[in-house]
Amino acid sequence: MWNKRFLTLCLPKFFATFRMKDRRLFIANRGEIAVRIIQAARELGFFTILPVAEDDFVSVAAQEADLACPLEGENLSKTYLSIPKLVQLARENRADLVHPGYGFLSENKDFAQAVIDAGMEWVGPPPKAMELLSSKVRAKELCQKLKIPTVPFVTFPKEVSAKELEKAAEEIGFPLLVKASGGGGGRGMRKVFEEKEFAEAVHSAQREAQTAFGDPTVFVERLVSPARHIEVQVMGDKNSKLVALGERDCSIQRRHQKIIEETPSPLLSEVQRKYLEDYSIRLLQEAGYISAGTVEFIFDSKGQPYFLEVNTRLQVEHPITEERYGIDIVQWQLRIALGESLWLGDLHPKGAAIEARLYAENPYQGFTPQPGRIYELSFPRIKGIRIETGVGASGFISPNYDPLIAKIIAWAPSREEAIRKLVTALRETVIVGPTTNRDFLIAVLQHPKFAEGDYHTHFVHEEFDGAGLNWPEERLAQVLAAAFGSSAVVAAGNSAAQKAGSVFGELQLGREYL
Amino acid sequence: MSARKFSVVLPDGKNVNVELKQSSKEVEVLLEGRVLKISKDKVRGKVLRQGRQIFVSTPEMQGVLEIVEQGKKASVSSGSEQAAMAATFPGRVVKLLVGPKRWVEPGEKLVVLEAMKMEFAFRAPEKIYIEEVLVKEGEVLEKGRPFFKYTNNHQ
Repeated sequence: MWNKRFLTLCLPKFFATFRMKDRRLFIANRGEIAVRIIQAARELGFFTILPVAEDDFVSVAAQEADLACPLEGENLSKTYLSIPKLVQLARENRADLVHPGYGFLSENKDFAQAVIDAGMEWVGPPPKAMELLSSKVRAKELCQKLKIPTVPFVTFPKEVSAKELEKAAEEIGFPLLVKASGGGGGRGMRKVFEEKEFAEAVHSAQREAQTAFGDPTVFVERLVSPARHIEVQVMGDKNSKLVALGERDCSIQRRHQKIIEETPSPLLSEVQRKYLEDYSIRLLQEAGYISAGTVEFIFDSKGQPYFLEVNTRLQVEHPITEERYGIDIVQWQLRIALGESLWLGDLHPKGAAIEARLYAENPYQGFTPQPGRIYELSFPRIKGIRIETGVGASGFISPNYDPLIAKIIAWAPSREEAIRKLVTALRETVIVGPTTNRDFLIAVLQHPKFAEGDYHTHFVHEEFDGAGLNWPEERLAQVLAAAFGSSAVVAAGNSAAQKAGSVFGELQLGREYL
Repeated sequence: MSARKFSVVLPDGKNVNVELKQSSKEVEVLLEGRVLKISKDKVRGKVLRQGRQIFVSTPEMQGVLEIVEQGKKASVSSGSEQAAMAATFPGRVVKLLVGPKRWVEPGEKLVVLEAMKMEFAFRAPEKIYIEEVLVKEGEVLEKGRPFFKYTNNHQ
């Protein structure tokens, strides 16, 4: 009896550990997600290899990786978007697996294929499934076949003639959306209300798609607006087992990019959730999907869901699902890539999780990027708060990449508590550096409509357009006094600031000051 | 007693006239001419002044204040578009929409800059005569770099 249990329970685990240990993982990414993957891989005993562009050598990821190898090239297409260079680096360093993270080449099937052809494991879905689903057109056709509702659309693979544009405009009607077919996260996306803006929008979206994803293909679809953006997390293993891990509500967006995500969605009923999960599983099953994937839906104002697209990769906002389900999605991606079968036990999603994306951008001036030096960055330690960041205690937000500083994730038994925790964590986050969206995120989280769960993709635009700062005058006066009053200045021992020859003060305007 | 007069541009682009009066014993801050008492409560937070910039991070406010001479205005901007004749952030020129020796109307699109994989259009803030174009498509600009040599007198 004991022997049998030992054999069935312990031995497979022992061999699994054996397989994992000292595997060499190449991470074709940077920033916070590279750090996240390194940490997940480290727990499994992997050796991590990170390609690092010149301007990233001071990053946390470069320090954390077991091996950081130089990725030479003056722009993105020669560094994080260069398939030959990345594959060559991975091979030279004897990598067993390649994890692409999100963004960059994560949804590029040619990269996946090149990795596989070079004899390495691709941590993600098979290139065939990627090709099928990343072509948003073919994904939509598949949905039609499976009777999953979807929105009408037209595609432009390359240069577009005026005639083609005219035809598309007629077919879809305005307002419409121009989107990068290879894209995601809102990049390369344009909203068009009138015919005269149409051509320029398509061309500029194509340029942006080319730089950001290395593929100029864009497509046009009817704009469902205002909408609710809800997505389903799915994990699948190599034995065609697929599991849906609930939804994430990502309707709080600016420039079509998510800034706050939460799970569960305050909008969905249990029945709707089951429907979405069922759609997602059926779609990915049909596509032969493996690894982590996300099926995105939009809900129109009547509450009707439409299939939007599949993100064939890890999502930025995956941590909220992890917090609610108590699993590690990145580790499962790695284990699945090595052939382990997915076994999550009985899933008991608990409580509520919310993520806020802290960006170096000016929310009071059209969310313009604010790259620059960060002199000091610190996060509070609060139970239930998880921080994912790739920026160190002092660092640099480069104009060449995404302006993300950190993801702050809160989990609590109830949604109200999670919101409260997140607000506290944001308020206690210290960023001595460029203007960020920190105070704006707090304002959104404290908005009465957000508290009620009554929001949609236009929420930021409708509720905050033209909204200025709400800084208390007295506090501003104190800050100015501290900035100039030499007696208020306490040497804070911040070397970066001292080197810069600047005045650095703890803002303690009490007795010491007057 | 020493006094200092200047303006600060807040992150939302608003200008505030400031007067700081400081003696060895006390500090008085005037915002737009109104005297504000400095609270004696201890305040948690950090302030860093470097050249013309003040970096602020307290639980209720985070951002950068720009110190300017009184009477000067900050550039106006909105959405993914800005009315400015110089790069307000570092970025790459993806499109140059006007050539030299011509008038542009207020609001006309002049330059598209790309930063952090997003595009931003710069529009003419007023009627302007472009004398010379100072940037090229594909060029990476540092913050503050002017796009054109121009005049705005209507002669």
